[in-house]
Amino acid sequence: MGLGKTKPLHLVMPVWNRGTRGIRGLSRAVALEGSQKKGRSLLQFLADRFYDVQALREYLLQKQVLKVHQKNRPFTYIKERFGPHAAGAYFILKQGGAVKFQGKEWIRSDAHGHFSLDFLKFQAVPVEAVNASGCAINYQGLDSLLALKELRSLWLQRCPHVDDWCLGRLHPLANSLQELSLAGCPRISERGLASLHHLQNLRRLDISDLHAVSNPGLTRILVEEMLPSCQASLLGSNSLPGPGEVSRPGEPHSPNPVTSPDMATTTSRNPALDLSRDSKYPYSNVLLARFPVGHPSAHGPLRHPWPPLAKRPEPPWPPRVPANPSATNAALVKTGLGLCSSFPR
Amino acid sequence: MLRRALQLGLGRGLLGRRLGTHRGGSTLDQNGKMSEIKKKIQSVLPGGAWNPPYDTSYLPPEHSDVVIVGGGVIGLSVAYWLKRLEKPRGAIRVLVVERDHTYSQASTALSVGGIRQQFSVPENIQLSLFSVEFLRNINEYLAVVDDPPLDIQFNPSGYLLLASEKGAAVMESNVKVQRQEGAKVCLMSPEQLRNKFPWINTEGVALASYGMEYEGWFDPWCLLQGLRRKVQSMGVLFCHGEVTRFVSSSSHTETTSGEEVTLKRIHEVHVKIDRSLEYQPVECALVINAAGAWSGQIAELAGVGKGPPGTLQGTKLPVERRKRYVYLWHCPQGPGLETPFVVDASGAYFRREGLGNNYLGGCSPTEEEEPDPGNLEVDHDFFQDKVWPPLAQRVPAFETLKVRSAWAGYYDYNTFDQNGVVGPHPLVVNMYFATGFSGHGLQQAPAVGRAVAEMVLDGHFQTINLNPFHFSRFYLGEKVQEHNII
Repeated sequence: MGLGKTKPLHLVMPVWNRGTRGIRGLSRAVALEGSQKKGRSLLQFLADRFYDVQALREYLLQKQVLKVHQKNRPFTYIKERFGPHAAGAYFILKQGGAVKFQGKEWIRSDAHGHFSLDFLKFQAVPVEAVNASGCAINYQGLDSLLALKELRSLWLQRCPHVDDWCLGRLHPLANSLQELSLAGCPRISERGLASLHHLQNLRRLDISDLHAVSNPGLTRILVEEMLPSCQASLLGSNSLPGPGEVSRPGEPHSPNPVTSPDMATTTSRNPALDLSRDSKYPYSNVLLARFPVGHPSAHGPLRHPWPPLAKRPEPPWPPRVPANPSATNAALVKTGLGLCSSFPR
Repeated sequence: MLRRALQLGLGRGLLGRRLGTHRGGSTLDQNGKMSEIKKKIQSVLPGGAWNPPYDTSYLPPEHSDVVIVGGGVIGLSVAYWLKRLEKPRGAIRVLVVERDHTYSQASTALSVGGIRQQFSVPENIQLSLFSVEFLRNINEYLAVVDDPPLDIQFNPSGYLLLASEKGAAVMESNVKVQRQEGAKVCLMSPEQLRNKFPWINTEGVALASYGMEYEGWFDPWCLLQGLRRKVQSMGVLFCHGEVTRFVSSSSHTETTSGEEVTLKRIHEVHVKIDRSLEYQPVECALVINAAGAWSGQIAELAGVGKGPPGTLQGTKLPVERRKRYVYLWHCPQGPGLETPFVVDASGAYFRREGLGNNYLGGCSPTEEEEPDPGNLEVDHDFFQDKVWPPLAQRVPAFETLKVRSAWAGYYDYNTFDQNGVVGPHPLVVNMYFATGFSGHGLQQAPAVGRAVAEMVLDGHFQTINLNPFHFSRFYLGEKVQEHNII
């Protein structure tokens, strides 16, 4: 098993790290400033000096990307033969998620990735809930999900490849989707959340632990203004995932090893210690943060060394008057120029 | 071995000198000169460091297969696709000549950054769709090993185009074409508009088209830097200089109709180094004119348009610089997070910027009120008179707003039909155009780059057919008019 599997901070041969999913593996190395110098691996050294080694690394990078694409291929035969609901369910189960048909129990694949194909017999029974937490589902893979016209709840927690583009695609589910969880997805930002306004029937939205969101409190307010009948939560999921979910022993390395609650889930298999699930502990994120330095968000340098605490949201207006305003400053504040958010130019 | 021979030779020389009559200091002199010569020879031998007499790293190379004039998003996109589609790897030497490395006047950097498929010309829609796919997978296309991934900060909020009674029929037919090409656009009635966006005043709006997917806005600077980084890693050379002259040869031929034409072939490009009188002639096989707002001047240097008017010889490139203003304002009660890029029927547009109730917007002036493009000074009265009233009428919340800042940028405006010019010039046989996009160059850049690269490498377009955008339409008078110009 790879050297870098359990310690994502070390730069030892990230290319050979079989546990690294997606194309973040190689780039993750650059975001960690401290260990950059001492962890420079032989492969990196050679790649800087020889085109052939660089080509090899690019090829390996491409292979990682292709692996994700392969996981998200469409299952057209199943779709034609058994209908879109069965195809969607098959896709999710293949990725390692869980599916709930209307009136039936949760179906999930076991430790070795096998699952029973009984659900193919439910031809017309629609899929009601999908738990795709931690799955490598991406933009292409959403095709299978969007065909599930009666989907009520969708959990996309900690999916490493779900980004703003994917959120823009969710509008066909507007009629039925009532619950959506995006907790812990590293690539989702407030820009993608803006496209959720199509989902008018949404009642519960979980946007906690999104590292790429620059201002979580403000975003939550704006999302609630955008979707008046929806309740957006920042403090972890209030609705527990399906009863079938336990940490799978066959998967010691989670797809997104950086997010702390996941580490707790996999390293301590004791459900009592699984604080992320319990909403009684609002600061569970802090307690479980074992990697204070080195949460490389997908977008380059670090924003918070600790996962963001849920702060009281600050309104952008009116501007706060500083403690000792000089005359000029007071004048500026009065005209509104004292408040300056970041402008493009 | 050579060194030993040198030593022997030196030894013999010294011995030889000693036997004859000599002056006192000449042996030392010989030693000094010899060691210098020895050093020079050692540096020329492989394995030694070559120290040329002076530093020439700022000069472009003397030979280059392709010279791309202009290092904005279109030029870099062409360079990227040339290097990506070339066979075998490393076959083509590409040089990008950019006059201003700070991009202070470049249209790319000053752009509002929107991308949409709501055009009337099918080719534009296809270009935009390809570019959206490129932007979505930008970290697969522009991945450089060991560099952090790019975040172009795409807002998938869509475009909302509003039409009055007059334009409703045109909008309907446009949307039909757009949906045929694969864009996800839907038509909305004023009532649906009011339900979806309660902050809009639908008075005077007969129809609206709203892009559900693949539309929005992003950060053009990030795309530019990402392309630059990737293109440098692929081996494209950059030069900080200005193209001042083309050295070409011409030959006279007759067309089938008996008309005498002069075919030109560019042999050398003179690149003048920034802040210096020094220039370097770069021998090249092809020149790609991606100079944006200054493409007209580059075309004139190459001899495009030098001839009696009305002939192909005398048809100039009708691309000129037009100044456009963009204003950033703050409106405390303005529309919320779901605001799309709204384009009013009057031509005024705005979009949300960030989370703090800030908005960017502007309006294209009519032909009569075109500002002087000599500089990039902002006219604030233009906002008061031409931008604010239609926007305040459309969005009542905008009646109270405060302008925070403003800037101006150039459109490479195609005065003929406001669409791009892509492809070779019929007479100057090795000059290719990729310019004239009149405000939608950024959103079509990845696709145009690919099209030009295919034209250069294969001789014809393969993915998207841009034959309607050929230069000869200016001579033939066939307009490919784009109606949805913002």
